[in-house]
Amino acid sequence: MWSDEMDKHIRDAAGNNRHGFEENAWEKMLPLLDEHLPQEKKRRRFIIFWFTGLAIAIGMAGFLFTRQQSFSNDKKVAEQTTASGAETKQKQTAISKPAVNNGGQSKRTLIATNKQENNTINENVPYETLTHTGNTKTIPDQQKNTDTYPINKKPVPTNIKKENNPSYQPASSLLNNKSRGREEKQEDISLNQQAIITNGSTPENSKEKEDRQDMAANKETQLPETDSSTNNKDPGAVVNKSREDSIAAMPEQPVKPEIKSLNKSSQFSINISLGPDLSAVGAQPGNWQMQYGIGIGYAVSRHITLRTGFYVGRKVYAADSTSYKTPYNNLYNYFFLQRIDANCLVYEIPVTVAYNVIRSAKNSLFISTGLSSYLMKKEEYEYYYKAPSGNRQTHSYSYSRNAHLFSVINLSAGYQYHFSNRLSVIAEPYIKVPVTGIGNGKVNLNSGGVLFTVGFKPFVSKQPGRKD
Amino acid sequence: MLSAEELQAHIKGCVLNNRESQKKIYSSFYGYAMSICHRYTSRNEDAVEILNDGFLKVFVEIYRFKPAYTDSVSSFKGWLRKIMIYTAIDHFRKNHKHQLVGELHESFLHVPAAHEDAIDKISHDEIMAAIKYLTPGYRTVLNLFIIEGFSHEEIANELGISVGTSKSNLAKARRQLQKILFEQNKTANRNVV
Repeated sequence: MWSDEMDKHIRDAAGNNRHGFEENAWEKMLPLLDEHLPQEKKRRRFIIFWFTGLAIAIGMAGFLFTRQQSFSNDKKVAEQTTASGAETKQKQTAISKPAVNNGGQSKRTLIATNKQENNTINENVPYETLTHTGNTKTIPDQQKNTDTYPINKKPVPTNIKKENNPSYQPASSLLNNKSRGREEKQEDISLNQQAIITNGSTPENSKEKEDRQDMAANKETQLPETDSSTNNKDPGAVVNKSREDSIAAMPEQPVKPEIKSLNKSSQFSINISLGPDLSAVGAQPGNWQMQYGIGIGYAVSRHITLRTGFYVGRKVYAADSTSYKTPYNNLYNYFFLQRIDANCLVYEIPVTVAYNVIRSAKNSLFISTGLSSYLMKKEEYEYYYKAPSGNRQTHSYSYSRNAHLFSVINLSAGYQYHFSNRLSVIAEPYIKVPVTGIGNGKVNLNSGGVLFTVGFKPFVSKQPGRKD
Repeated sequence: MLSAEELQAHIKGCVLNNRESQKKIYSSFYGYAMSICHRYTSRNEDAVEILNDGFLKVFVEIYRFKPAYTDSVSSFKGWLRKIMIYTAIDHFRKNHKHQLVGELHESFLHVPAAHEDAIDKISHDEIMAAIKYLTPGYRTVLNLFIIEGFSHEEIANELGISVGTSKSNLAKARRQLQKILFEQNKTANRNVV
């Protein structure tokens, strides 16, 4: 029998076996340390890189925003110039046009109409047919007929065609009643009150056209007599005076509100978020965990917002041996591995762009995309494997040096409710898909969940009517 | 060898990933660790590889080390030893697992005893050299059973083999070791003569 003495001798030999330190062994060790335990300067480099990228993104956003502001200001100035020019033209036209009627007498009186956007007509005021397109009113160059029609208080429809529409017929043309045998050619009258005749419908309808014509024919006898004496004396003076009155009474063109350039600092918002998160590798879902964090946002424009922040969460998931790539220096790596349970503390730094698809004073719907960086603060794994002897063993392993920069695609859509111009809440379902392997096992770690956020704009002044 | 205070200070430095502390611990325990790793492989390069892999695990997990005894140095050596053994096993399983012999008949497990005189004549260096000449599978089982004190059940669990296979490999290892030592002794006597 093998004696125990021999075993003791072997143990003694092993205990007395010593080796001196070899420098070349340490030189072989250094690359392993640099790979798996990199020094702090790389982390610092990452932080510098991240902040530089963020600064560049904010700078570009600010440039685009100021450019957009200058463009919108130019546009506003152009519109105001156009509006004032049109108004001036209106006044000039109203003053200079001669009054003409069938009887050669001046009956032209301009009525104060369209006090409102909906073109409601005043009562008891003689008028001429007018064409109203939106907010602009133009007076025809020549007016050969003066027509008076029953006052209709109903608003003119906003879909009244413009005079240059070939399918559109001005009201005065309806007076060109063939049955009356009129030969005078009716020039297009740019101001027509179609609603008076058609009760809001467009003149393209042939039936309505006939109705108007009939009405016009029937009303001919009802036309009030004009004050011929006044007209005979000084038709131009009467017209001019009435024109001035009507011009004075004409409502001014609504002035578009000045677009004040917003304080850039008011575009910043601070967000505090919390929500459930579920991670999965392959078809095996993990456990729901809470994710929380703080972020900042910058509204580049009304529709685009840049966001970033710092979020903490746990990724708890299970992976099988095919999904988990164990590194060589792992204690239990290759053989009979059946399952790995992971519990990882992750710091996430997202950089995303949100686009408001629908935006109103109180509600917004947006979509968002961007990239996230995962800093694996702590990774804990349980390895389950089965030996041929039938025993099943586990082993815990912890590793906390992995960093995956801009390695996760972040997709989300959300709803935002604005309590005020400073405070809002957001519900934002999301999914996160990795571009590279995550963690020690380089797994394809997908995540999904819902993030609930409270947003606060600290630099916006408390003005009840002001909206951002 | 480091004192307890020095070891504690360098452990803290290693937790902070300080290269100087890591090198200090590496150089201080290099001989002790290498004596373990050298027993599991016949080539020096493989021994360095096992040693460096083991130290990497030490530095990664060092923040979790807590001395089990009042003597922190002995506790650390015990913790280091365990890591080196498992790393050596890992290395064996990756490279030489197929070299384990299957179960043998009971009769083959009997190994003739060596004479006591012969044992005394064998030096420690000769034993260690002879162990290096063993087949990798025999060498691993012999190291784990005789030197590390593992039971056959534990060896079977670690290597992923059956208890019977562990016993048979140990028996084969002993036979082979005896043969190597005998040949070495025979060669030495011839040279003397």
